[in-house]
Amino acid sequence: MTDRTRIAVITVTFNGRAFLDSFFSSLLAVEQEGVELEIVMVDNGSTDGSVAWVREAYPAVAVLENDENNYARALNLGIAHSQAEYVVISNNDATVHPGWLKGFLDVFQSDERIGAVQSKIFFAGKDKINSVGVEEIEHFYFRDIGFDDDDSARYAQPAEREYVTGGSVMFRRQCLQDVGDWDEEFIMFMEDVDYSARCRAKGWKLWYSPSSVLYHHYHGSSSQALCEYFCTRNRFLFVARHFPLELPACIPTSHFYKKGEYDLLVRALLHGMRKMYHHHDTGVFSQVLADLQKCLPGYIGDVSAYTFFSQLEVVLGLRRIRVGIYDHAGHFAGGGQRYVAEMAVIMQERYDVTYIFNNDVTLRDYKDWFDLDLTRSAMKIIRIPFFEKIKRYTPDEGMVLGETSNPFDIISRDTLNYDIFVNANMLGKVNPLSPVSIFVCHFPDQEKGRFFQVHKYDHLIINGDYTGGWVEKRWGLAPTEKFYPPVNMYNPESSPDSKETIVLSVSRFEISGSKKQVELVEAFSTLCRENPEATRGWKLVMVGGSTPENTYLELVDQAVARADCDIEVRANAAVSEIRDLYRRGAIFWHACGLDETRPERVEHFGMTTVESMQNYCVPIVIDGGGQREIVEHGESGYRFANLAELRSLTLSVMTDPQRRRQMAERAFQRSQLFSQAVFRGRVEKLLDEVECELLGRDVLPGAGARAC
Amino acid sequence: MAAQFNKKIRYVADRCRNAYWMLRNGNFKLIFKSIYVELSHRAAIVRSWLQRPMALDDSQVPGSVYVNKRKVVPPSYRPTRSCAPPALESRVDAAVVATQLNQILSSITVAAEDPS
Repeated sequence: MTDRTRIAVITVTFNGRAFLDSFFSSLLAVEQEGVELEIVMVDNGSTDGSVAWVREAYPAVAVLENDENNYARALNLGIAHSQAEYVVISNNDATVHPGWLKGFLDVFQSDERIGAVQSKIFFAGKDKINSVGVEEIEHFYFRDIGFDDDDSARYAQPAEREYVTGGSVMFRRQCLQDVGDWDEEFIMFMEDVDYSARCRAKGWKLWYSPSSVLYHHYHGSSSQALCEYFCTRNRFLFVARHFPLELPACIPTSHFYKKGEYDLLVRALLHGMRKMYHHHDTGVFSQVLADLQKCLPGYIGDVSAYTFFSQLEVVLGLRRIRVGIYDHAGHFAGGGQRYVAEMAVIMQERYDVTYIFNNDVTLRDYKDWFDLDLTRSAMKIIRIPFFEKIKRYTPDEGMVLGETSNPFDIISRDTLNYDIFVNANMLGKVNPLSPVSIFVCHFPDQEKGRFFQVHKYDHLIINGDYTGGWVEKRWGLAPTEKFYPPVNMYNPESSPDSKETIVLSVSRFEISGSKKQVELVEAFSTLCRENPEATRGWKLVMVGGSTPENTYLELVDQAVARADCDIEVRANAAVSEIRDLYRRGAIFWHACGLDETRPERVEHFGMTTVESMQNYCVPIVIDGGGQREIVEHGESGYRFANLAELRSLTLSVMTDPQRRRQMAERAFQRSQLFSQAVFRGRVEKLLDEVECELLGRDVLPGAGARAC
Repeated sequence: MAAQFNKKIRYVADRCRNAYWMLRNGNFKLIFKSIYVELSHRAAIVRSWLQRPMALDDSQVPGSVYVNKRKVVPPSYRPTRSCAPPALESRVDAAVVATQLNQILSSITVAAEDPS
């Protein structure tokens, strides 16, 4: 056993390598007579090599690595690691005076109820004081006592303080044990003020010692913006914990309010209310809610106040998260509807999902169309008077031109009923008022126009790079997520050996002719005519949906009649039939976008191309739109620029069975990128993030990640 | 109408209270900043009013209930990520709070406001 006083010095660093050498060298030079010193550095995920450097340069320093960038958590780690009877917490963007430790101990000896002693902190390189304690100014704003003052007799005597700074302070171990862990929700800034209040609440005294001196590089290791954010936010946490009834009065004096940063204000208030929920009783909480009810709409408006109270229900765990999915064209069975319905299937496993339509449709229709079970979701129909009046069955935002009010405000109002609002079909005039909003864009068909609202969404999901490029070009917005459409057309009987001499095309017979089936018929006809030997036994099969009395389908039939080769047209074939054709087809053709100049006329993604690849077809597709992202030219298929190239590439694949087999296998591998499993994984990851956003606490960027 | 008037009174009162607080503390830098924020807010209202006949995007009109203030990107630091907090015991009666929150939500009538 030793008679020496055991002291642990704990310092927390984040990319503070530049300061560490001078700090540790000054620390090792302090007077250590009668002292047994333990030094602990907790690293908050530095990327500047601090950890490796300290381990090498100062082997006596115990280095702990925090799993997230959280200052308060780092302190708890360091304190738990140390054994000493006195624990010093110190900034490391500092140097210490040789009498630093002794200065603390002298004051502790005067009274055993002193729980903590703060140093006299100077600005490094100046004769000005940084801090000799902390005091409240007004409205729960705090400042360092003596800040920017010259050193004078006023600061020459030890004195009791209400609050001490965590920049350089020594705690008695008993005090730390009595008060408990530092509050990790504070993350950084004002955690020392909170801890001071908790110490005093437990009857411990806080003092200042003029003979313990530290020189501090002010904000040497954190940015001003970071400091401002956390100080403003943590003020609400502090008040919620220690002076809960004062919380509403803190709103108008907060920086978030003064600067009009209402989203940050709401966020901070939610943090505060959750803290209050865990530290105070029903009477207090209820009183604060009633006060907020009175004042909050006046401060931030009815809409934001509504979302605050609504989100509070979720934050406190009083109800499940609600999701609203709006699809103005949900009464049509299209690729976009399927895409979002696949998302809805995943969402309804966790949340209460409500589909919002403008026209008559039921969720049972989705089962019939896509074999997707949405029975756990609810639905509602909201008619839009503007379109009802002009008898427009499907709302078309392009028709909203000179109106003074936005016809889609009726949908915006409804978004308030949800925690997450998903705009499923790129209707750009719906203003999302829910706490989290997601805009799914299959392609930006419309230019930015009147009442454009897409920039207000938190997440902008695109289906591929082609769409993403046009979102940036047309709307000037950067997409936040890219989810390829989930494709599930794999036929277990498909293999490179199941192939027949069939060239397959699967596309709707669009009345506009955008899918270019007539051109494909002509290309196949020419190919057969010019290469009778090589194409012997090959057949072109064209499959696709069609409306009754489709004039374009008639054109295709006429072209087939003219062609002197084996071509089969199958309109509205059953899914089982299409699956079988995918199994048998060796080559897949897709030409949507050929000779087109308008971007919306080019295939945005190319789901049927992926379907064919899932079944070992070799895709030979147009070099444009989403096909560029799907097919790697020369590896998992070919991309053509014109019909001559289509014919020559097809001929090369037809005449080289070995190459065809290799490409088919590569195409199959490539298709796995666009599987339902990948889509599910991405959606679930997004939902995890969104859920954390709704319920969570802040995490600093650039930190080591702790699982949510 | 009365509610709107009260809102304006409250707004002016808040500004006065802030001005007094800043003067008392000698925080002149903040005074100039506040004046600048206030003037640019007023200027934005005038600008948007001037642009109205030209049918420009009125979703940006300040003060409209449909200007989603929550989405305004602040100049200050913004956390990029959140993490689910650990579950803690509560001393609050959840049922009482749930009922109260329901009452509060049903008392806020957003739909009654004029979106334009």
